[in-house]
Amino acid sequence: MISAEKLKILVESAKFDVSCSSSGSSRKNKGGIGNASMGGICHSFTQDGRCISLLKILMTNNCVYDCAYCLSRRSNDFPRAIATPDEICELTMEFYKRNYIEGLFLSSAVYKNPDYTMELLLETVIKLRKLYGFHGYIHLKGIPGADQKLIMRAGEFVDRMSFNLELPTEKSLRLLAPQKTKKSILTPISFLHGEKDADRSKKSRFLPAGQTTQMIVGASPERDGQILNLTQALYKKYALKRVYYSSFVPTTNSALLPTVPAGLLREHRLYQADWLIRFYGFSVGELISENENLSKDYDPKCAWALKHPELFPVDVNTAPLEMLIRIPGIGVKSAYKIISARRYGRLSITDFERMKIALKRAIHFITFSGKFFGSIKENMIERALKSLDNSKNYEQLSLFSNSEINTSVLTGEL
Amino acid sequence: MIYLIDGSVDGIFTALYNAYQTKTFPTAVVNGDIQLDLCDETVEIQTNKSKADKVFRKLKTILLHGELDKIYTALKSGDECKYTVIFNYLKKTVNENKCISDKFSDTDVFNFDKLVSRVLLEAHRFKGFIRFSKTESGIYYAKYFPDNDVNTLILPHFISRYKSMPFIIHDINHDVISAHFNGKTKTVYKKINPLYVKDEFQSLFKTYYDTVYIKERKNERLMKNFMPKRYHKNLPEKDELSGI
Repeated sequence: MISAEKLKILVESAKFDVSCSSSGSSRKNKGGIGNASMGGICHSFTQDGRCISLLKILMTNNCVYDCAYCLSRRSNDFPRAIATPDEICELTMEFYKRNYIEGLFLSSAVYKNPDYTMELLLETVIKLRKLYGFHGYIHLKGIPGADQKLIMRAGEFVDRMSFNLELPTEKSLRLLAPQKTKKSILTPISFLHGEKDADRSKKSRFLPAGQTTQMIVGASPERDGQILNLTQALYKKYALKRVYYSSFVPTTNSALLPTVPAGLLREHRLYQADWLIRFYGFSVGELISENENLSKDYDPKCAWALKHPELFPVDVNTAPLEMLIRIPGIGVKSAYKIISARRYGRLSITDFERMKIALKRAIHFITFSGKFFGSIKENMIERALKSLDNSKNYEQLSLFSNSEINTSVLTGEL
Repeated sequence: MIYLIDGSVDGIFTALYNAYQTKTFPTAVVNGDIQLDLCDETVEIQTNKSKADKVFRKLKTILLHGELDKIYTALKSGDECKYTVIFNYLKKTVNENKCISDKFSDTDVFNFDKLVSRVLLEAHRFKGFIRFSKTESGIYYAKYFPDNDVNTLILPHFISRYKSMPFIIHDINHDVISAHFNGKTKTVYKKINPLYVKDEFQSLFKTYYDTVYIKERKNERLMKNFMPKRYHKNLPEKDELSGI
């Protein structure tokens, strides 16, 4: 069995991988242990408010690469360890049987060379599936630059794979992660996407939960607009399930990197915008232009609405669903509630209160059968909204404080 | 006026039958073993199978597919007001003589919907928060303390997940115990003393839990939003562990 010491070392370096979701797969239990739950399940929440869904661990943190932002980089004097495939399999099984986890998220530093590392990862997941009879969720990190055959083979055994983009542009990659190239990351993403797409007809189980990726925000000079355009392209071109953003935290003393953290607010705004792109029918162009950053004062939907006074106020008794979800402060759930309830008769402001639909933001953008209850003057609306957003988290805007913030937490159920 | 019922679904149906027969409706419906103010006027409802069946058949013709099941889910709630909430919702449904389950602007419908959602939310949470310990005999035992009686709601999930692995899920708050051995499952409502099992993996998981979080982003309030403190005594990764 793996020692607590080794577990600590291998988890310490894995924790910066943001993805923990266990959703998107409905793998069945075929006579062993485990299955996957389509919506994903969170098993615990750590002290930073993130969920534990998968056992997040590295095969090894011994790395031949020297990426400036990374704890495991070759030039860092730092405890190193390597796990055997059996150690990983046993730990996964024992944790899973006790319902601590929903599955395994296996990643690795580049040990010896990309092929060698990928072979080690592949051996582990095949063993876990075949020898240990595990049918739970597996998320496998791909190693850029590894042989395509190894990567494709892995896709047959795991639920989800991810190749991390790490940084939003080739230029930043060259500077901070010199051994990685845009091509070495995007090529496998594209191959896996092609294989999954082709397999759809055969009812195959190739990578049922698709692919995700992650990039670090704030370590390099890119603007939010640039990042979100890249995100949108990734969703469209490779049908990625999610793009994760990780706000830069200085863990190393590289001269190439900023010395201050990027702040959680920026990451939070990016996730909000990402949400609008995936679930609310917004395109990036509507929210932000290429060389802009998202507003600190308002959430991206509010900022959009303020730019479009000609579209508001919207009447909640007649607006179609697509417009209801564009109202600041009204989410998808509330929009569906409104659509259901108004079939029985006109809704008034008291009906909204009864249905517990938040009005703080929405009130300035809606009418109830022609009746308006919000502020009329634009600058009054802005002031009212600004005070809402800043009342709680004013402090965290300071670069030096680590005070609490309501970040968009990453749960395994999204 | 307050109706006293026996807490069964037939009890609620009988109460509904009575109310319509006497054309007087109660302000509250409560389970018989609750403490009441002396000044409340109470009517004890004797559960009557044939009256209940009439109401059941009527509801079956009104409610849309799947809505009937929600009554049984609502009854699993630990909320003291649940009988009144269910009664008022059914009364309104019968009055309207159509399925109004998504008329959320109606307080009775909204309250009923909230009651059901809370039970389902807790059931979903415990699919994640249940913790098994391996006993010496190789059986995996989990005890937990839910607000609602969710044992039978979460059971199918664990059966299809673990299949041939023997396990017991023990709800200490509602005295429900479900056991799954050799592919067969049995649930009993009975007061049984909880087991205390020492399992070496608890400390290994605590090591994992303490390592995987990012210190620079500590946010305990957010953690508690997702994992309320009252659930912590069930979790080996939390210090509050009361000797599992």
